[in-house]
Amino acid sequence: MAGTFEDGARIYNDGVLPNGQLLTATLAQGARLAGPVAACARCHRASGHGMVEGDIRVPAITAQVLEEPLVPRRDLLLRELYQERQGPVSKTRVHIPRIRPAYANQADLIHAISFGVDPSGREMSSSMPRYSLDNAAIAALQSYMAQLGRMPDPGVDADTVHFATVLGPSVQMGRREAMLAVMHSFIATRNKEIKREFERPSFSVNHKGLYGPSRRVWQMHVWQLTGPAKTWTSQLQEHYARQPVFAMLGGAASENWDPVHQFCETAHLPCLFPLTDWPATETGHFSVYFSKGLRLEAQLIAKRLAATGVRHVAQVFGTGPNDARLAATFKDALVSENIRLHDTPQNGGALAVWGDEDLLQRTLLDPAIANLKTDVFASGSILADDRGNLPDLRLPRQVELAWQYPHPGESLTRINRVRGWLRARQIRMSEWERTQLNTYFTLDLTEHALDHLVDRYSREFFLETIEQLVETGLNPGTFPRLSLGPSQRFAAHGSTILIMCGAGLMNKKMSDRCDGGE
Amino acid sequence: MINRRMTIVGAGAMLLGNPSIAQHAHHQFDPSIQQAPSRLMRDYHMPRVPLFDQTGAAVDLAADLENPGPVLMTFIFTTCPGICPILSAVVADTAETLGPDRSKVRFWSITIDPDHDGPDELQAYANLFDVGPDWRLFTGASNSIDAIRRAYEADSDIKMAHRALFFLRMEGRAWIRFEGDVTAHDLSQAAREVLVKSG
Repeated sequence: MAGTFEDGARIYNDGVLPNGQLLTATLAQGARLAGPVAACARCHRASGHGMVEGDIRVPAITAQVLEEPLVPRRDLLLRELYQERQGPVSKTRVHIPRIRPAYANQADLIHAISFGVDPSGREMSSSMPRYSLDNAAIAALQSYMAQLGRMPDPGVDADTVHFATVLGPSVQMGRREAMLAVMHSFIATRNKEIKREFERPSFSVNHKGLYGPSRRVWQMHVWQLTGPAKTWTSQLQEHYARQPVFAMLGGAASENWDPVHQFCETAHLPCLFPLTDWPATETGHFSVYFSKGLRLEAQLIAKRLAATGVRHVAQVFGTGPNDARLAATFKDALVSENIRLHDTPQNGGALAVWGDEDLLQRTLLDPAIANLKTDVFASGSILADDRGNLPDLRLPRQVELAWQYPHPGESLTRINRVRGWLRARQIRMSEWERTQLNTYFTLDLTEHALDHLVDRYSREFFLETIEQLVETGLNPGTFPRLSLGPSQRFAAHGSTILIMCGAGLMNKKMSDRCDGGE
Repeated sequence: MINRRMTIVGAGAMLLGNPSIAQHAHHQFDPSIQQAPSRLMRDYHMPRVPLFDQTGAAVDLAADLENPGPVLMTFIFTTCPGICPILSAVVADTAETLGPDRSKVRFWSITIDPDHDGPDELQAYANLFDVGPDWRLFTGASNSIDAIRRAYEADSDIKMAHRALFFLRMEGRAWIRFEGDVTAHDLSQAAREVLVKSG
């Protein structure tokens, strides 16, 4: 019985055979792999475009690549030789021309995966495992691979690559303006450079003319959402129907990002780094975020309380847009740490204050609390402004802050460069600095990713490229560390708990306390 | 007269006429040909930093190394696509090759992505391979992990630039550093040498 496309998808992506058993494979050294680590997608990736890791170069096995003879391509070789990271041995191997006829039939596929021999008779790398598949499995895999990675994906036409950015109805005017100014300026510059590459293809400094045919001018579509969140899905669908886009970049919303997240999952649309305090709770495949937002801060504090054995926890919250939701999230976080939330704070316990500096000051000065020996916690994101600066607080006692941003006083290598870029274009709005830096980062990353893609406009490949590039020194100084990996979708790392004493932050170890107490 | 043009045409003809000859000329870099792995003797000093294993238990590897005996150590990360599955499969194969001697060898893996890999992630990764219940995987604060990577000359600026390395502790601070097409045979032989020497 011929294998189905779905069976083939399961072999390729999950390492599961049509009969339900795990896919198994043998490595050259004799070692064995089974299941997910034997799946083709592990190395060749969901896109089928492969990847480079250390000294291993995993080639592309998309349908379009396999059904054609493989010959060297100057544009790809130039990137591999001079513009991409790879290990020293791998770099030497780039000089060996990889030439083979097309994969013509099932026998060619069997030779490749069972015996590690390509259609030119050449043996494959010792990193490629050998698989022993029965006829049904081979047929299923073949039917899947015949469709693997067919491009281009929607949102790319003969001369333009289309992007979208989403703005929720409650985003402050200043923030909206700050974000769009960065996008407009960045894309205008990018397009000038791209058009230069089109104009003089035969006189080509640094071989830029090689890339002309693969370049597309960028067009950004602003999808302004209106009304309540439950109407957003249909608005997004309408926008997309009018002009499909290759990816969604940045964007902002004050409330729930869930409807946008769901839209991206359904439309198979990469959605990169929106500015939101409430990313979706479930990790998706297509949406990539900076941090887990305010939920992270609630969890950070709950975990700290669990680790220090504090049992009596109370909270107060204000009237700000995120306060009540953060309080509810904190309650859930405590439940998962088996800590019960109490109504009033107590000696020896902890109190979480979810709100702005006004609420914090009032709470700390409240006689009922001022005299209690209780640890006080607060949210760094709510207290800090969009510069990542805390207000100048005069605190009567120590407060511990959940803090996702770089440590005060930390040197941020790239921040001045991006500030300079903003200043040079006269679009710097320093009260919205984080918004501008994060937006710049997203576009910068996209530019590098599209350079890597060359003419391979595949959404999956775009996502896989982003996963690697995030870590490569583009951090504009808005988070301590940014990194992703295969299937990782939250890039910000390095959150911590900072201690605030009296008039400012203390560079103290967690074991020190401001008042010298225990 | 042999001029540059003729040489280029000749090379091109060779390439077109029989690609595999042109490629075979570079066989020492041919990825299909297994190379003997590099084996370097090194003195490595494990930093005394706090770590956790896949069960969440706190560990002190520097203290553990004071107990003599072979230790087979690798650096991995759980979302690693290509290198780590091979490393861990070879470790599993080594454990099997050692047979009853495996109980005398410690099998350690340390994540190079501590931001993502907590105890649960390490356990899920361990379940993908058949190394055995004594395989311990470790994570910790990112500066602790960085210190260990630097101590073992195994750091990289980005995860995907990491190298395929196996470390075998012989005694004290003497380690063998393997890189390349390392087999279970190489590793189990080396481990057995340690066991024989220590009696």
